[in-house]
Order: sequence, then structure tokens, then C-alpha cells
Amino acid sequence: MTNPSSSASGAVMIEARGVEKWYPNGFQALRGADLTVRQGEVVVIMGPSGSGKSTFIRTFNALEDFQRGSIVVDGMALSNDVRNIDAIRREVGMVFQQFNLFPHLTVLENLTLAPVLVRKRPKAEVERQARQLLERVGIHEQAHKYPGQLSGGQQQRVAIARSLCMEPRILLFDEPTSALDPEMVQEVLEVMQELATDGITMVVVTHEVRFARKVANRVVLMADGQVVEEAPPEQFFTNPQHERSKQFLRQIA
Amino acid sequence: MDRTGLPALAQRLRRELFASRTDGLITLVLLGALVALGGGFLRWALVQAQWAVVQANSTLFAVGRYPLDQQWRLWLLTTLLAAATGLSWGLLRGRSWPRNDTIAAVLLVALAVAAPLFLQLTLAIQARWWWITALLLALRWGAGRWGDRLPAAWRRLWPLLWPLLYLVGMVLISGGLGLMPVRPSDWGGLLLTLVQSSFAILLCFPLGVALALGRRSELPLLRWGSVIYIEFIRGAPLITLLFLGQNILGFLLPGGLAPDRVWRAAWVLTFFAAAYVAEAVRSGLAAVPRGQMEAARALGLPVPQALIHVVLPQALRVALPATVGQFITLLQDTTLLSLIGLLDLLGVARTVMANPAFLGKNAEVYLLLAVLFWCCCAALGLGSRALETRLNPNPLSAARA
Amino acid sequence: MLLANCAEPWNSAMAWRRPLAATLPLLTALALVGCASDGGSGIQSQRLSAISGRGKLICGVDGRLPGFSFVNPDGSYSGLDVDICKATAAAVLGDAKQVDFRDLNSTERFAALASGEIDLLSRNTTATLSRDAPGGNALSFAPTVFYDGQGVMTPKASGIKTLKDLAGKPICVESGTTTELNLADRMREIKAPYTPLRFQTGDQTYAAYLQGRCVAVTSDRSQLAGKRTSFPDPAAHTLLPEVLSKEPLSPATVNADPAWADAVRWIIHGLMQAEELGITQANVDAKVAEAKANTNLADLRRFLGVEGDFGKQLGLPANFVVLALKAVGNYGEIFERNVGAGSMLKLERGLNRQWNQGGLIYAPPFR
Repeated sequence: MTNPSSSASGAVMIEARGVEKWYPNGFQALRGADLTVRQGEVVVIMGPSGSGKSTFIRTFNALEDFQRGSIVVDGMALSNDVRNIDAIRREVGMVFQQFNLFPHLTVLENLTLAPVLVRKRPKAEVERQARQLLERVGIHEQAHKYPGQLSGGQQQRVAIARSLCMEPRILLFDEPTSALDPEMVQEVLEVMQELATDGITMVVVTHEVRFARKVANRVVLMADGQVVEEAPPEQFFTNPQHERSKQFLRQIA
Repeated sequence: MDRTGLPALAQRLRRELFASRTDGLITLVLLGALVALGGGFLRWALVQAQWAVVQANSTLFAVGRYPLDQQWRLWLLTTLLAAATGLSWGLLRGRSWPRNDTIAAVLLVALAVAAPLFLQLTLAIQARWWWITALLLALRWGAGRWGDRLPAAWRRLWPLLWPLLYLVGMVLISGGLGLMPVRPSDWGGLLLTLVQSSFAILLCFPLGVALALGRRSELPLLRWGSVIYIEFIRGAPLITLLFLGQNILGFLLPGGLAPDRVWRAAWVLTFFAAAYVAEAVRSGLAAVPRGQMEAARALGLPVPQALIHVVLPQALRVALPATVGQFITLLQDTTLLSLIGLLDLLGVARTVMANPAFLGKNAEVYLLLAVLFWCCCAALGLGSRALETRLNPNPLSAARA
Repeated sequence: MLLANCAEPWNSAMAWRRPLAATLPLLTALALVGCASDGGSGIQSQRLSAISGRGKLICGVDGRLPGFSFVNPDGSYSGLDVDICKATAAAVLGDAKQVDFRDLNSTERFAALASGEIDLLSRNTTATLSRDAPGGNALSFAPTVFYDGQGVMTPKASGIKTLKDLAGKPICVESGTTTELNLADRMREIKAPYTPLRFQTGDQTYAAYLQGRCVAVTSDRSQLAGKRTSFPDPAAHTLLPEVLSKEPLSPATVNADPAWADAVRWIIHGLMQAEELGITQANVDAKVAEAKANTNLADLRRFLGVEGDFGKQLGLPANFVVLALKAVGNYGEIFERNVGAGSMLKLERGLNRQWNQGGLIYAPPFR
């Protein structure tokens, strides 16, 4: 499979400019990070641990606040206005490293909870859609099981389906395969790859080089709270420009 | 000696009780102590104890000074409660009669026959207990057999029967709506103990949850308010707060608003227990990973919905055993009401023991109290265990791995 | 303004509490000053009006004290303290049944009185200066209805007749109590050294006494008598004649309403005077008939309300004494029924005899 055609001409979905964030303990996690994501793009963010990459994408749906700079998501500027934040979150799905499925609900209920409560859609319709999504991620037979009865890979696929059920315009992935046993990584990456071909805008924080090479439109390297290099995957992995990029690639090789 | 020739039971006894010389010695000593103590107790309870003090004052122990001509309301309430119990029991179990249910039914029948007989109640009143027990068991059987024929909506709504019954019960007890009012100062005995503890249990729970959430809130005023409240209440003995409530409220609140002494105590109990429930719930909240809230928020759920649908169901499930422990403590704490002059079970006991006709019958009275409290606490414990299994259809812990 | 205030009946206990509590005694005092010009007629007591208005007397009792107040199996109250409440209700409202009893413990009894929750405190309260004084609890004590005092109980078989006989013998006391101190003081006074056996609780103390570890046990006489009834053989134990402390147990009302305090005081005096005059629950009707028939019996006629305006002066019905007597009998009858020979406690009258029998019960003249 080849990289989807670059859609640099698409509408801007995420526009982050000079984002700076301090934690309450005084540590500065982001030091002026910039990023532009266009519709349909798959952007992979890499970087050494502590580089602020997770923090950065968590600012996109306001799970983390920031002190300086600006972020515009789908035309809405992130501010402290709660209604604004809720509106943005409805359009931005997120998949977590630890899956974060709701253990007291069945797989199906995990999927239908938010669309019914937040989008106020009829339950039967949402359930139909949820079953289709479960089929798409390959676990429709487990709809009535509880998350605790599934394997890690299956749980993460449910988590992806749960995000999709809200029909988001953007999907954020925060190290989706880091907590998985090696033999389960592939099944999750396959699902993500399939999504990418469907044209969903995705921002993925991951260490999976093969995934980045295959799927990403652009690879972004972060270090010390900043974006140090931004390039198409082939160029990034074969001919990195920045010293930090070279260093990073040496480390993960 | 051919050990294999021994019957299975004897073999088991030998293995478990007399495996070695030391084991055998310990067994014999303990057995001796048990026989001596148990025999002594039985001899006292059956021969020496004078149960007239309980027999003569049974009404006082049950309902205190509740007016005689209004006691039909309490009978009606007891009947309704028995009916609701039988119905719920039947709907829960369906057609099956597990061994525990059979044991419970047999115990109930034995109790309904033995207790009124022991209390030497008149035949008419004994018969009332028989009827009430019969009604309970009949409904258990009937609801179990035909319950599944009820419309699905009804079956989903039957738990609402209980809060409704609680309201009906309070009206029946206190009067109003055409019934003659019976002032709380005339309630007493088991009735007062149950009214006080059920009121406090029902109200302290939502209050405790709110306080626990307040303590974890990001709003400083709310957080500090909750912390100060919880720590103040937990730092003060209940009896001090009860005295405070009795003495200060009378001065502070303008006449019409100052509640009756009984309700003052009920509110103090509620506010007291709420602080402890808040701590139990807080530990439950702490056990829910942060990611749960984040995932719910990331899906666009506003905080209240995220709490109600995602965080609290998990937190309360974790906090349930500690919370029920708190409820049981609360039930036992109601005995402190006797110190502020209310005729709760202990209060009735003390006034009965002050009656010159029954002076010195302390042992009989206290044994009765112990049995009554044990029954109430055991019921609470059983109920909570049933609730726990119902709330736990899935292996929660595995999801965290 | 103030006069208008007096005329307005305080028709419920709640109304009493409505103004801010701190200013309440002041307001009451002002109102009463305002009413002083009203002359000797009419009701001057807000509390009395409140009781009449609600038709019930609210009486604070202990509720757990043998002989003084307890609840019968049928839910009714009995006891000496209780009979004082009933007599008051009968005298004020004409019906001894119109009493709401409130069980109070020793710490909240004064607050209940001060906040206006109860009308009358009839709960084994020892009259003392600090409880009476306006700068203390500001109570107004009615006449003492039971002269209690610390006593000493011994087995009859021990042959001990007076405190002096206890010299050199072991005595059981509850440690850390005033009874322990009183005993030590008195024994030092009469130069009778003894061996105190101290126990943490009352139950332990009596248990040790019954086991014969000591030949005497000390506590308030009414309590000793109560405990004695629960002994295996009550008749084998006796109270020594000496009394080691003064515990005049008196009903109480608040200082702030002297008119109500007077009413209570004279109702109780009436019970005592009736005993002195030989008027009982049984013969009161005959005595009234006799007084009505014979105009020469001026004192009796006034006492029973056949003539004169004693009742009116107190804001009570003219025949308030008769009403009280019909309900509970005279003081002697109340005593005997609840704590005396007619009861399980079998207490001697002792100091609670009439003054002309060598006791302290003394009603001032009804003049």
C-alpha cells in the first residue's frame, strides 16, 4: 500500500501556534509547539519520551490546558469556555494508550453511551451503527461481553470503534499500541491503517516506524516541547535534516 | 486398629479435631469451655431469667408510647412491608427455591409461631403475625411463579415500590392526609430506631456522595468547604454533636423552624454519617483510574454526565462494603439517642429497667436488645451482599490489567 | 405597646422561642414591668397563657429513675416527679392527663428550660445557689419535693447501727465521686477510720457489696433504696439513719417568668398543706362539701377555693388545689405511692415528714 495522496490543499483541521504549557509544579512541557493538520491528513508525531508529544495532542481536545499560544480546531478557537470545549470534543475522538474502556458497561454500551447522551440520537439507531463499527474492527461477536473479558488488542479496537461511533471529524491516537503485547500490535495497526484509507483526519503519537512509513502523510519529530522537524515519511526516515531527528532515529533503530 | 473401618464422619472428626495429641487436648479444652458456657447460658435463659419484663413491655419495646388506638396504622405498615418483601423476593428469585430461601422461609415460619407465643401475646395478635408471615410467603411463591407474566415495564419499575412505600410509611407513622397526627415524641422503641436509622441512611448517602465529589472538586471554595465539613464532623464524637443539636437548635432557629427533638437527632445523625460515607466514597473515587474521566470527557460527555454514567457507578461499587459498614455503625449509633432523652430501643430499655416492678431485670432486657440489633444489622449485611453481587456481573479487576 | 404585648396570649410553645433567645429574658422582663400596672387580676404569665393556649403542660423528667419517673408497659408515665407534673397540669388545665413528658438528661435539662422547650423541670434537680442565681442557670426553684441525701446501707446481719460502728471496716465507694469525698470528710469528723474499697462503676460497687467484700455501701438514699429492690433479699439490708449530704430535689422553672414560678410553687404547697390538713384524694370531695356547708371554716373554704380569690391571684382556677388533689392526692400520698411504704423502694419518710412530725415539709400559710 502506498501513502494516500497528499492533501495539502484540504481545509485546515488543527492549527496550533506557539503553544506553551507549564505544569503546576513549574515544569514547562511545551515550549512554543506549532502544527497544522489538514483535512484527511494522517500526521504521525514521534519523539523521545518527555518530549511533550502526548501533552501536545491532549491540548487539541482540551484534556490539557495551555498558557500561551493558540489552537484552532475545526474552525473553533480553544478557550476556557466550557460549551466551546464540549463542542470541540464532540468533533475530536481520542484513543488512549490504556484503552480506558468503561469496565462496568458492555462493549456495545461502551459504544452507544456517548452518542445517545451527547448527540441525543435514538438508541436503536446508535446500536445498529455500533454493531456495524464492531464488525468493521472485527469484534462484533463480543458485543455483549464486558471489557475485562477481552484481550488488550480487542479492547483497543473497541476503543477505536467507540471513538468512531461519535462520528468525529478528527481522531487523536495517544500511543495506541504501547500498552499492548507485541502479538496484538498488528491487529490494532491494521484497523488504524484501514481508517486512514477511509480519509479520516488522524494525529497519531506512536513509535511504530513501519506504520508511519506506510500510512503517514507527514512525520513530526518533537523534542523538548517543540516541533523540531516535519517531513514526509520517506524523507524523514532516510534523510533527516535535524540533529535531534538523527539522534532519535539512531535510538529507535 | 483398622482406621478405614471407621465411618466417614468419625474419620473426618478424627482428622480435623484429634490429628495429634496437642490438637486433641485443645479440642477437649475448648469443648469443655463451650459446654460450660453454653450450658450456663441456657440454664440462665430457660430457668433463671424472668422474661416477664419483656412480655409485659413488648409493645413498649416495639413502638414506644405510640397511641394504642392508632397502632392499627403500624400493623398496616407491617403488612405492606411484608407484602413488598414477598413480592420483591419472588420477582428476584423466580420459580427456583435455592436452599437459602427454604431455610429463610422455615426460619420465618418458626419465628412467627415462636416469638408471639414467647411474648404471650393475645391469640388475636398472635394470629396477626401468622397472617402477615403467610402473606409474605404466599407473595414470594406467587410472584416467583407468575412474576414473569407481568409486563416488562412493570418488572423494571418494581424497585420503585420501596421509595414509594417509604413515603407511605412515613405518612402512616406520623399522620396527616386525614390521619390523626402522632407526634415524633410519642414514637419509640424499635419503631423509632428504625425510623431514625432509615431516614439517616437514605439521606446521608446522596449527601456523602456530594461531599466526596466536593472534596475532589477543582473549585477551591467547594473543595475547602467539603474538607472542613468532613474533618470537623469526623473529629467530633457523635454524642457531642447530638447534644449540640438538641441544645443549640432550640435557641438558633426561630420557633416554627426548629424541628422536633426526634427530627433534630435524625438530622444530626444524617449529617454525621454523611461525613463518613463521603470518605468511603472518596476512596471509591480514588480507585477509579483518571483515564475513565478523560475518556468520558473526550467523548464529549459533560462533567455531570461523566460522573453519573462512568465514574460514580464504578466508585460506588468499590465503596459499597465500606458504606454498608457505615450504615451498620449508624444503626448501632442510634442507641446514643437514649442519652439525649429519646425513647429509642435503649431508651425504652432504660425506662423499663427503672420501673420498680422490673428492677434488676437488666440481663433479660439487654439480651433482647442484643438480639434485636443483631437481627437488624444482619439484615443490612445480607442486603448489601445481595446488592454487591447484583452490581458485579463482570470481572471488574481484569479490565484494569 | 407593652400592655398590648401582655394581652396577647402566647398560644404555643413555638411562639415562646420566636424572638432571638439572647434577648428573651430581657423582653420578658420588660413585658412584665409593663404589666405590673395591671393590678392583681388577670393572667400575668406568658408561660401560663402559652400552656392554656396549647392545652398541654410540657414537663421535663428523667424518665429512667426508679420511683421518680419511668414509663409503664402501657406507655404512661409514673413516679414522684411525674405526679408533680400531673398535679400541675390538673391545677392549671383541669386535666392531669394533659402533660407532654420530655425525657431529659442531666446536661440538657437547663437548656431545655431556658430555650422554652419545657414549661416545668421535674427531674431530681438539687436546688443550689449557682442554679438559682440570675448569673448562674437563672432557675426558679419550687418547694423541695424530696429531701434526698447521701446515705449508707449495711446488711442487717452485720449489727451496724450507726456510722461510728463502721470504724475499721471496709466500705465500698464509687471512685472519683462526691459521695467518696463526703464519706471521707464525715468519717474524719467522727474520728472513725475505715478502709475504702474503690470501684469504677456503680454496678461494680454494688456487686462487691453483695459479695461481702465490704460491710457498707454509700450513695444517695433514694438510689440505695432503688438498688436494694434488685438484691436477692432486699429485707436483709438497711439504711443507716445518718445523712451525709444535702440534696433537696426541687422542681424548677425559669427566673424570667416569676408569675408562673409562683403558680407552680403554690400548687406544690397546696399538696403539702392538704396533707397537713388531712385532705386526701379520697376525702377531698367530702371536705369541699363540708367547707361549702359550714361558713365558719374560713381557712378551709379559702384553701379549697370555696371563697376568696387565691386562684385568681395566681392566674389559676379558684379550686386549683382541689383539682390537683383529685388527680394525684396530697404530698404524703404521692410519697408513699411512689417511693414510700406503698412502693417497691420502701423509703422512710425521714426528712420528708411534715414539719410538725419532725420533718422539713412545711407549707406557708394560705392567707
